[in-house]
Amino acid sequence: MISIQNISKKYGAQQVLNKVNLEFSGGQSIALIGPNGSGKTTLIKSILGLVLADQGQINVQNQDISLGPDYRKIIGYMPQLSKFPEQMKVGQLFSLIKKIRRDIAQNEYDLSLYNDFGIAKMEGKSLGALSGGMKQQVSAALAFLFRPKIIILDEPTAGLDPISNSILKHKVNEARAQNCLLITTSHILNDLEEMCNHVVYLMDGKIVLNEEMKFIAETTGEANLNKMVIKFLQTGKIAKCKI
Amino acid sequence: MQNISFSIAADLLKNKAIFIYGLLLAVLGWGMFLIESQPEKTILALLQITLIVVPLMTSIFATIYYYNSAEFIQLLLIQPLKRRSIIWGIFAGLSSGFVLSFLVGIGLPLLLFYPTTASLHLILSGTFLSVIFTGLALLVSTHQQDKARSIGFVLLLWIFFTFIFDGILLWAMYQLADYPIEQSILFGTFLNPVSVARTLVVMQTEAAALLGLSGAIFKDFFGSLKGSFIAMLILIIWGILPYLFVKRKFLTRDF
Amino acid sequence: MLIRTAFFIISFCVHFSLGANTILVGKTLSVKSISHALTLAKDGDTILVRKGTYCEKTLMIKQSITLFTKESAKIDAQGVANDILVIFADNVRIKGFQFVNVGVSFLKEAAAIRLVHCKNVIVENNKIDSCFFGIYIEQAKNSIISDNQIRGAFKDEASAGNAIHAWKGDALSICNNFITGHRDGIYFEFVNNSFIENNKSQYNLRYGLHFMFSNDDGYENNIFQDNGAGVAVMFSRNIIMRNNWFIHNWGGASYGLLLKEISDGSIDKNHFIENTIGIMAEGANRLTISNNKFMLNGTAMDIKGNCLDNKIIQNDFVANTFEVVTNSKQNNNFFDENYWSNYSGYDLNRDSFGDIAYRPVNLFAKITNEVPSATFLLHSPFVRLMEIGEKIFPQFIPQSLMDKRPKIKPYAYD
Repeated sequence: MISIQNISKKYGAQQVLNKVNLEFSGGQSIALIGPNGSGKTTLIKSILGLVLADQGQINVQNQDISLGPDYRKIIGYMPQLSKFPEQMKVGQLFSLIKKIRRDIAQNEYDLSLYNDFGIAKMEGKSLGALSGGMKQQVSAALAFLFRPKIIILDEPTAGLDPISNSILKHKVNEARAQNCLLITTSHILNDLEEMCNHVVYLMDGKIVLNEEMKFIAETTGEANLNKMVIKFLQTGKIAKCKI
Repeated sequence: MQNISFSIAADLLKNKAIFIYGLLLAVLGWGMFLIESQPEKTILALLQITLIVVPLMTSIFATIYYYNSAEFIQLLLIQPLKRRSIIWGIFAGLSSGFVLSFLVGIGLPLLLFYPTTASLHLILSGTFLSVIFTGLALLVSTHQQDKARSIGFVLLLWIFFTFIFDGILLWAMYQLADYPIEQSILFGTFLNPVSVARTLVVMQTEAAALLGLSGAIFKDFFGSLKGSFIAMLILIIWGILPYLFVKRKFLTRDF
Repeated sequence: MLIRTAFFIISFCVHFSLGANTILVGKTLSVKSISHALTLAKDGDTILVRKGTYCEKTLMIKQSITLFTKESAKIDAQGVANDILVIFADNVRIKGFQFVNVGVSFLKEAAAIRLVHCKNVIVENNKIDSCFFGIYIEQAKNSIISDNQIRGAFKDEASAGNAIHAWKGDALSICNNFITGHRDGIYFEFVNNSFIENNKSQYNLRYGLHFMFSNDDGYENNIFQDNGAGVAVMFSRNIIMRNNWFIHNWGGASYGLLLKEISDGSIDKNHFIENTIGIMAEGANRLTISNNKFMLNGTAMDIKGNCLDNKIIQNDFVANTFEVVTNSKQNNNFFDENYWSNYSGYDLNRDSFGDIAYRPVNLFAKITNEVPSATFLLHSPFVRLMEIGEKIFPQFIPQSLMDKRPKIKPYAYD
C-alpha cells in the first residue's frame, strides 16, 4: 500500500531521514517507534505530503505522491497534540471538512468514534475551549470519518482517558481486521503492543528495526514490547535487521 | 477545487479581526462625513486614512492571521487538497475580507455622500492597497518562521512604503533639481504601490495643481485617461506579483 | 454707458432729420457692391445691404454713415491679408454683417473691421469668422463694440491674431461679445477710461483678456474660460475687476489672472474656479482683493515677494490644493477675515472668526515652489508628516503672512 523508497530529508545540517526504505501493506498495523528526534514525525509528514523529501519517492497504492493530492483521500490522520483553529466550533470543523470531502457520500461516513466519544454534545463548543483529551477525541473521530484505507496516528493515546483509549484501540484493531494499513507512533509502548503487529524502529533517521511483532517476541522471548525492543537492540540483533 | 478556495475564504470572513477592522474603518469613514460639511475636505482625509491605515492594518492582521491559523492550514494540508488551492483560498479570503471591510467602512459612505469620479478612484485605490498589502504580508509570513519577526518586518515595509520612499524621492528631487528628472520620478513612483494609489486619486482631486507642472511627460500622463489606466495597471501588477512568490514558497515548503 | 448710448441715438436722429438718404445694395439691384455704395454715400446716409455674399476689397469708410444689414449679408475677403472694412470717419455704425476669411500675414495685421483715428463709432451684432484679427482699434475714442461674435480657428500662438485689439484708445466700451479661438480674446494697449462688460472669452490661445500700459479701465461680469493662460493685466494702473468668472485655465504657465507690475486697482467679487493658479501676482501694489471666491484651484494665490501693500480681505478660499504661495520669507501684504477651508481652528467666543491666527502658506507649497516636480508628492503621508513638523517648529515659512481673523464659515454660506 505504501512504498517508501530511499527517502532522505535534511533540516539545515541535521539529517532527519537518511535513505529510508519501507514497504507497508494492508492488514499491517505498524508501531513506528524510536527516541525523540529520530525522524518519526518527519517520516509521517513525508507520507502525508506535509514535508517534501529531498530525495527518494513515496508511492501510495503504486501512485507517486508528488503527482497530486488525491492519494490523501484514502488516508486518515490524527496528528500529535491535535491543534485546531481556536475560535472554530466543533460543528463548524466537521461541516468544513465534510464540505472539502465531497467525494464521500453522507451515508458512507464512519460515525462509530463520533458516537462513542459523544462528539455531538461538543458541537457547539469552540475548539479552543476543549481539553487536550477532547481534542484528541475530535481528531480521532475525524481521522476515521471517511473510512480511510490508511490511518496514521501520531501519539494517539496521549491525553485520552482509559475508556476512550480502549475505544480507540478497539477501533484500530477493527480497522486492521478490515485489511486497512495503520501506522501508529507512541512513546507508550504498552498501548502499541495491543494494537500493532509490526514494529519499525527509527534512530537518527535510519531504520534499525523492521520486523513482525511476533518474530521479535519469539526471538527475544519477551511479551512486553518495551522489553522486547530493548533486548532486541541490546543483543546486537541490529546487524541482522533489514536496513 | 474552486469550491475549496471559496470554503476557506468564507470561513475566513467570519474572523473577528476582520470585523473589528471593518468597524474601525466604518467609524472613520461614516464619522468623517457626519462631522465635516465639506465633502472636498472629507475625501482628502479619507485618502490619508486609506494610504496610512489600510496598508498598516491589512498587513498586520494578515500576518497575525497566517501564524494563528497554522493548525488550520495543517488541517487543510492533510486533506486531499492541492496546496495551490489552499494558499489561493487564504489569499483570496483575506483579501476579500479586507476589501469588503474597506468597501463597507469607507467605500459606502463615499458613494452615498460624495458620488464623484474622485471617490470612485479612492475606492479603487483602497481596494488595490488591501489586496497588495495582504500579498506582501503573506510574502513575509511564508518566508519567515517567527511571528514576531514577521510583524516587525511587515511594519518596516509599511513605514518604508508610506513614509520613507517619498522622503527619498523628495531628497532625490532636491539633489537633481537642475536635471530633467520628471520621467525618472514618474517611473520611480511606480516602485511604490502607496504612491501609485495616491497618484490615482490625486489625479482626480488636484488635477489643477498637477497640471501646473511644466514637464510634458506629466501633462501627457495626468491630462488624459492614460494616466489612470497606467496607474491601475501597475496596481494590478503589484497585487499579483507578491502572490506569485507566496505561492512558489507555499508549494515547496515543509509544515 | 446709458448716457453714451442715448447720445448716439440722438445724433442719429439728427442725421435722419437732415434729409439723409438710404442706399440699397443687393445682387439684383442697381447698386451691386458695397464699394459702389460707398462712392455714393454722404455724411448721414444709410447703406442697407441685402442678403448675399459680397467679395469686396478693402472698404474705406470716410463718411459718417450707417452700414447695416437685416439679412446678415456676408463680406468675404477670400483669404487675402487685407482689412475688410476701415473706418476713418466719426459717427459710423456697422451692424449685422458676417465677415469672413481675412488672411494671415506676418507683415500686416489685417482685420475684419479697423477703426482708425475716429470717435463715436458703433460696431454691433456682427459675426466675424476665420479672420486674422477681428476688430482692430487704432486711436479711437468713445466707441462701442458690442454683441459681436468673433471666432477664430487658430492652432498656434505665433500665427494667430487677437479678436478685439485696441491700440491707443479712450472711453471704449466692449460689451456682450462672444470671443473664441484667437490669440488674445481682448487686447488693450494704451487704452484708458474704458470698460469691458458681459463678454465671454474662451479657448483663446493666449489670454482671454490682456491689458498692457492701460490705466483707469474696468472689466465686469465677464467669463474667461479655458484660455491658454487666463487673463493678464500688465504695466497698468487703476484697473477695476469685478464679478468676473475665471474658470478652468489649466496648464504649465496658466493662471486665472496674472498681475504684473500693476497698482491701485481692485479685484472684487470674482470667481476663480479650477485654475492651475488663481491669481499670480508679480509686482502688484496697493490692490484690494476682496470678496472673491477661490475654489478648486491648484494654487489659489501666488503672491511674489515684490508685491507690496495689497489687502486680501474677506475672500473665500475653498478646496484649493495650495492656498497662498510666495517666494519670500517676508510678507508685505495684509490678509484679514478670509475663509480658508484648510483652517481647522475653533471659535469659542462666537464672533464667527477663528480664535487663533491662520498661516495659509504651508511648507509643501514652499517646496514645490523650489522644486516644481515635488508637486508629484501631493498628499503623500510623508509630506503630511513634514508639515506637522513645520507647524510645531516653524523654520521655513514666512511668519508674518497670516490671517489673524480667519472666518469660520465661507462668506458664500452667510
